[in-house]
Amino acid sequence: MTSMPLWLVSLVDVIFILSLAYLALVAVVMLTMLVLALIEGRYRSQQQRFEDHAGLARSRFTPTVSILVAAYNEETGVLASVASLLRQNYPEFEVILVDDGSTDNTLGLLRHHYDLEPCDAGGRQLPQEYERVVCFRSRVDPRLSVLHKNNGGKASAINCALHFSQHRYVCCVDGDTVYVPDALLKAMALIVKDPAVVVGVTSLFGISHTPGIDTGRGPLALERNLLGRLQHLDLMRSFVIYRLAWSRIGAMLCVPGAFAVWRRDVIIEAGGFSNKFTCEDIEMTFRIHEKFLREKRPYRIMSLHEMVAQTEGPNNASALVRQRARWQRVTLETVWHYRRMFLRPRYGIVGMLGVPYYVFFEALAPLMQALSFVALMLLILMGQVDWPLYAVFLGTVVFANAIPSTMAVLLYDQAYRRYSVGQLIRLLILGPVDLFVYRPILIYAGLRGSWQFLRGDKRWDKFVRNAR
Amino acid sequence: MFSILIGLFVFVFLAWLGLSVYVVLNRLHHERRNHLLGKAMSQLGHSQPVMLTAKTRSDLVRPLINRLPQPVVYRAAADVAVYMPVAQVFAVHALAQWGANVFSIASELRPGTDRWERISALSILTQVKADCVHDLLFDALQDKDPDVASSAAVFLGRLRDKRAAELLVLALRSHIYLPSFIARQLDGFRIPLDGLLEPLLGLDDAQVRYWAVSLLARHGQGGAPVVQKIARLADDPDPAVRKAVAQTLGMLDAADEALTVLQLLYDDIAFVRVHAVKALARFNRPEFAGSIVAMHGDPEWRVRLAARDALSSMEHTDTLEAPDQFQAADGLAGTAFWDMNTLHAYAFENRNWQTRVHSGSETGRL
Repeated sequence: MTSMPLWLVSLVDVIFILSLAYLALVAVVMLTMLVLALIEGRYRSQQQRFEDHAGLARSRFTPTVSILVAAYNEETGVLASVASLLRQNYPEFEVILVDDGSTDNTLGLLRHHYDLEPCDAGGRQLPQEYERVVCFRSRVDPRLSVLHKNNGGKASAINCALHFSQHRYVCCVDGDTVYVPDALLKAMALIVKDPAVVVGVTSLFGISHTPGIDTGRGPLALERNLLGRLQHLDLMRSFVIYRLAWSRIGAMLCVPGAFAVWRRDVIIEAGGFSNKFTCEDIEMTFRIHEKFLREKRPYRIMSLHEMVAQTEGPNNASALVRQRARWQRVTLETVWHYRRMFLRPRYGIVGMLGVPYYVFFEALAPLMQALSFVALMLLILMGQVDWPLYAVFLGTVVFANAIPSTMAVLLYDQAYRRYSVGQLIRLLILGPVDLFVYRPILIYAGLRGSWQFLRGDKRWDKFVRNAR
Repeated sequence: MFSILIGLFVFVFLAWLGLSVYVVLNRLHHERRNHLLGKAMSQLGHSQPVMLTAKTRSDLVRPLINRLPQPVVYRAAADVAVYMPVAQVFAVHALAQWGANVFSIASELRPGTDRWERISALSILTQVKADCVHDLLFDALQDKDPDVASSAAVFLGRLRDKRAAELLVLALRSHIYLPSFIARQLDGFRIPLDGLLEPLLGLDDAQVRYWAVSLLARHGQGGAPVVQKIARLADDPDPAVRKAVAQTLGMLDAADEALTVLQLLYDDIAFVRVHAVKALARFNRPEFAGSIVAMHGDPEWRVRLAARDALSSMEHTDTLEAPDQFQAADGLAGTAFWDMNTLHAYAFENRNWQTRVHSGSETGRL
């Protein structure tokens, strides 16, 4: 055994015990989430069997929606995305795409494909920031408006579109994502049942290397590349287990920007999306929770496990690290900004459970995981690792970590039956693989994002779009 | 320690394996059932199900159904994803096989009935148009469970007969369930409902008046008396009702009530003015174009935008283009009354005397 100073040995012991305690806590939370997700998942899948989607799709009383698309350098996917949005099986909607100062041919492609003609702002009273926006209306499909503005970030682009929107609900989407025809309908079906209370809805979306391409395999075909498949499984786990579980208890704290239906007046009342954060989506969700809970107003923000879209995922580890570092950064920014909600009974379950969960299992997770790794390295150096014991321990963690993924696959398959048996088996096998291939990338990205947060970095750091 | 960890590992591994095997087996089981259903569907599909009698359809599918358990038959009969002729056969079969049970589940006589089972039973009875189904659905509509209540509303809407309409109107009137949800069902009825909806126009409840007026846009074929009753609500204290009046008169193409719509063009509430503009556009008559042009001077951008869109959607308005002041960012917000008077000059030349008179009075007011 290598001789080590006593303080180091004690420190390693403390870290080791802390890591074990953290792991035990993770296990308890995971089990609770699994139970909640099972209850909610079964409920939602039964509910959608009886849902009158056809009636909703043809009724003139179905609430109208403005779809707001933010696009920055999206020439590779914007046409597929807009086409999928204009194909929505929904009675009345408009699509407002904001080209946020793209330096590529995003606007040119749209002008050519949709025969855009310049128009004015329709007499709207716009804030100074948007006075120089150039507006276009499509001659091919009058439901499509395109706005071109100087680059100002995603929040600024969505806010600009918000000023132009005319309908009671807005659906914020991304310009690199392709949507299924019933995406809007499925989300709105939930809202029309309780329009006074449900203020926000999101739904599962999958990962594709090139969304909208290779549609011969179906619009929601499972990604072929391993990293893409692991990201897909990660999103399934995140939506089908965690978001569904939090949705069940009214503490779903992140409505992702790739598909977020909001009641427009709620967003306006909250002051629009904020540019002070790296990403706008999670902060808006926190803000609405905070506002409604503080004002003691009834509200619900919900998540569905129906796959409504496919978004482009990074196809290499470095791009994935950049993306996830950004996510980690915004999580830390938001949690720090809303720290007043932490363990405050006036914020109910959100304050007592939701925010602490975000602090311990999202914001601090990379740090805890890295610490455990350091402790392990030190234990190896000190020659204190009992290898057979460690192997069994690692095996336990591997399969315990795979259980939420397996449960997500089960709940999704029972509800929608979209994947073949072969694809299901491939997804199930990925569960245990996740810890060795995918998790280390996430830990590294998490640490990098945390460091960027401490440095006050706010860059979007967009990954290069995959070649078509 | 080691043995505890081994035990834990075995437990976790078996849990993962068991769950994974269950996912696959569950799916294979589903595939088998789906295969049976698919067979039934393709048999029906090839034989042009619309042309088949219910009995023939039933004969084709029954051998397949007999092998399925009760919950599967229930769910398939009610599942919106199942091909309608097949679902109907399932419904008939369920009733023949477990008739009394279906009734007791639908009426929630059996304690501990799961909500989906009840909804399935109600769906089955709706599909076969059982005698008592209206009352059962009305009871379900009053259930505390929103899923049961919303399904009952949808099923009443699917019945599309007079009795179902009466019950839905009663539900609308008594706020038994979400009015917008009830209204959506009533809007789908093919039979005339003006006789049921008209009495609602005189009620004190503004929400009920609003929905009655809105629904009459599709069910207001009762002629001039109904239209006049709707028009009388243009003075309603609730702006939502006034908006509905403008909308409905437009949809009914009630140009005889143009004066009412013109009156609503100058309502205090902007969204009422927006819908009044849209209603005039629907009339699509050149004599109203002047009044629409006048709305380019409205202080609210939505009204100005509606006016511009209305003009571009109307025929024969080439000479009545929007003035140059219609600029981005500020529109006509700062336009003086002088401009408004100029704009109203268009209206003075209208052939329709009501338009001329009304425009004149409005200009005077300005």
